[in-house]
Amino acid sequence: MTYENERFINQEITVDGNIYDNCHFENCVLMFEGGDNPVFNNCTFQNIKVQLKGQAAQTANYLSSLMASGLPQQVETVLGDVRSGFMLLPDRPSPPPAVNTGTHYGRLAIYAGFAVIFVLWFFGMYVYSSVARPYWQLEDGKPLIREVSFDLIPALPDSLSAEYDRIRDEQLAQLSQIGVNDEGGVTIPVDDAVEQMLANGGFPVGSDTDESTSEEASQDEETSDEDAEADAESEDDSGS
Amino acid sequence: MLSKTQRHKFTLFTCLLAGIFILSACGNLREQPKYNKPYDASPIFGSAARQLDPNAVPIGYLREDDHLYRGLVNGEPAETYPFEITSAILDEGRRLYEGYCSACHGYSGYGNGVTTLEGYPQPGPRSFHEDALRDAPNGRYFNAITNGVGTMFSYGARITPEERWAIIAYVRAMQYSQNPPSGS
Repeated sequence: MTYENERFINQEITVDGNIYDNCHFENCVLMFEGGDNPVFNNCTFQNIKVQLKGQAAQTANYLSSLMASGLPQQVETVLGDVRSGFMLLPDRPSPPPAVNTGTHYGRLAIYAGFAVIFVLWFFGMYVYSSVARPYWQLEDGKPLIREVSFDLIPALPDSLSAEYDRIRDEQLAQLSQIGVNDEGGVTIPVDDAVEQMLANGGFPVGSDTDESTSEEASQDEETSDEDAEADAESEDDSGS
Repeated sequence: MLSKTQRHKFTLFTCLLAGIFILSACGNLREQPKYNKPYDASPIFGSAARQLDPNAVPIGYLREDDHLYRGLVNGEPAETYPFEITSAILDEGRRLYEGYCSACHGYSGYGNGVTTLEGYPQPGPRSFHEDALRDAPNGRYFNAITNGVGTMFSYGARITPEERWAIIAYVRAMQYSQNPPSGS
């Protein structure tokens, strides 16, 4: 986070990763927890305390333990580097330009609207199902869904539908009464025709085995013809 | 009320049953060796799925009876029916005729169905009471229903062979009705 031209007085500030430009610190505790290195540009300080915390404190503890372990020279070397600025990290590069940032309250509102609509719909259906046909009133054998009567949308205009009905009735009447056909013959009801055809064998039944049967029949016919011819010849002979 | 031992047994049995169900789902069956496509190359038969025998027929589709399924007797259009026609079959034939055929051929079979009023391409549906159709064998009707004829399209996929014969029988009854033999 970047602070510009601000004054910090009597505060305990965690400075990790922050950038301070032209700021003034007075009676403050600058807390560093070992995160990104803070950057102070043209800042003024007055009665400041510095505290280390977290990972930063671990580093300090490490140096302290080195001192206690008999390596003061090495620690002094590190601190010398610190004093000389050798170990200072370079300035943190400026963050990339903001892309597609900002608040998205509009989109959020749309999502929230959908969520509200869904919840209301669900709640409404629940209430409707409870009030319109509560489950405790359901009976065996009756549908769960309330029966609603409605008229089917006619597939044809009323006038055309009526015309087709008239044609159908007219044509069916031809099959249900005695009349006269185009050739001047008499027509009979189709039901009577069915009865007569069933009674008179109007629906002959055959099978694929007709070939052998017909062949046998033809052979029989040929045989009988030959017999008849032979008989005729014998009669002729006898007659002559 | 169950005793303590029974409760323990019941709990143990329930846990065992649940365990069986849960463990049965173990293992990643997606990773099992398998062929991704039916005819992937395979060292066994050359492909993962064997090619059908050229003469293979699905179960129930071995339609050897030419009379019933093709309307032919000895290769000629059948004059007869492949099964006995009863009044119940005729009723079914009437129902089917009015459902499938009457729109074009008319309820009385004169070829004046309602489609003829709506611009049916000419020549329109034929009348079953023409001499030519009255004298046509049943097999010709069967073929027309099965494969279509002229501008009439095929009903082979919609009407079973048995139903086709029922329709033919009803058409014959209509023909008899409109041109009964003398004396009837």
